[in-house]
Amino acid sequence: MIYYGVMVDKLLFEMLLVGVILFYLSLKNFEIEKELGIASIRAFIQIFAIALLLGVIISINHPLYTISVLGGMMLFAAHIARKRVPSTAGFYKASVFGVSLGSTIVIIYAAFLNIFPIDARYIIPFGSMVIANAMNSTALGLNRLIAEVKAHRNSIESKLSLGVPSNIAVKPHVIDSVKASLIPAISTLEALGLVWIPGTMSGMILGGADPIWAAQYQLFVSFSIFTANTIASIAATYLATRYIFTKYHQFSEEFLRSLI
Amino acid sequence: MGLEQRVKSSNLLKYKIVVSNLVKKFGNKVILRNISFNVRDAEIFVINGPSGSGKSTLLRCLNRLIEPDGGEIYLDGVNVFDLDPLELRRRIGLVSQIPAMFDGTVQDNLLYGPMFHNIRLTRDDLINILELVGLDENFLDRKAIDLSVGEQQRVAIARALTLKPKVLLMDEPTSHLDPENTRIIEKLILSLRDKLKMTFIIVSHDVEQSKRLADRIAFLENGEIKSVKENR
Repeated sequence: MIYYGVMVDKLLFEMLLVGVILFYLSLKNFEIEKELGIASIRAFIQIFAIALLLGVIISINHPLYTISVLGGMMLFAAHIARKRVPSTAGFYKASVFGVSLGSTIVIIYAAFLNIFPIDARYIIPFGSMVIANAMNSTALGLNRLIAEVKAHRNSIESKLSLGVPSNIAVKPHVIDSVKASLIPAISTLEALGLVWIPGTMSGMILGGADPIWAAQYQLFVSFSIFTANTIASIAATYLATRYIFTKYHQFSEEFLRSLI
Repeated sequence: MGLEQRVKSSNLLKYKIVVSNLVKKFGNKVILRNISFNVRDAEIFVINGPSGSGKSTLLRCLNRLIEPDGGEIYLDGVNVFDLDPLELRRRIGLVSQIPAMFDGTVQDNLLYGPMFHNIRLTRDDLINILELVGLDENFLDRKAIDLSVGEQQRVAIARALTLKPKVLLMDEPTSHLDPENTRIIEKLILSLRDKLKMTFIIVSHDVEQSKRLADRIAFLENGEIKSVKENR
């Protein structure tokens, strides 16, 4: 009898495939096998750890625990987003603010619309998808902002020299940064259904749900992710400009030092 | 008002700019050490010195694009730290080394600053300002980015003039220009000083240029003013 499903033995076979890939990369001197290996092991440990934790949280199903898990995810997401950006004072706060604001609004809105029961089993997986995506758009937005300000420093300084407030002088670059950070999210929306069937829909169909029902859930998740991405990127980049400039509309010394 | 204060304020009013004991540090590194000098009304004051001596930092302290760590700066007897930095930058303009043109036409560039200071300029006003920098009316509708570097530098000067500044700071204004354009900009500075009675503080590493332009030359080295000499 054939038994379908991912059991530990089949997972080990899958990891064997990853091992073969790593061996090949090592053989051909790609020099990313170490990083990929560590990432794979981390993913393995992290996903089982969160599965164990989720099992406990779902069985307890207390709002305090659910909120703590989501809060922890937001802080980690902000930390990871911040790490991808050249060191600048205040950018961690901007990341936390962006990721938290975008994710919280979308999660509360979904709960308000009764998309799923207010239950750890639903809120945490939904929240994690939203937070992870908000993290990516925040990192992209902040990274682009630094690059934009660095590339256009002379132009921004020329505007400041004309007595233009710093928020106005930097505005075109904030807009470009937000737009750049949303390109992956827009591409994802464009490719939805045509190029790929994303996680929620695939998971529901694999679990036996009606494809139309699964599509509705997927659309809701995709739109939620897009909304969270946009809010997170706008909030983080705008807040970050407060750390790029001083209250006297000058480049902050911390920011200038980070460019060296 | 006590005698000491009256003497101080009469000294402050005697000069367009008074800089007293200016200090600037970046981290532990001292960039400017107790800088003091005065600049007269309608004077061309050139700050000369080698690379890394603190010339550009000093210039940017004067309009508070960089915040000094100590000392005082007065413009027409008014402590610049009592002014809103945005208003200060209207009164003390800056033209940088490499002209940065904003999006749009020359007209868009010229109207950018006045828009934020509620200064209304007509097309005739803009033509007059362009004429001051040796450009004609036809330039108004040209895309700023398409101009040559020399023309862009003249637009940058015109852009600063739209705010009717009392003092114009210039950071190595010809370092990216060929000899022909350098000569044009130098002539322009001298004519603007005569026509508008404006005060210029110019940073230059070029000793010969300093001699061609300056009424007085300050020599800056390792963040210290070593000398201030009359040139005319």
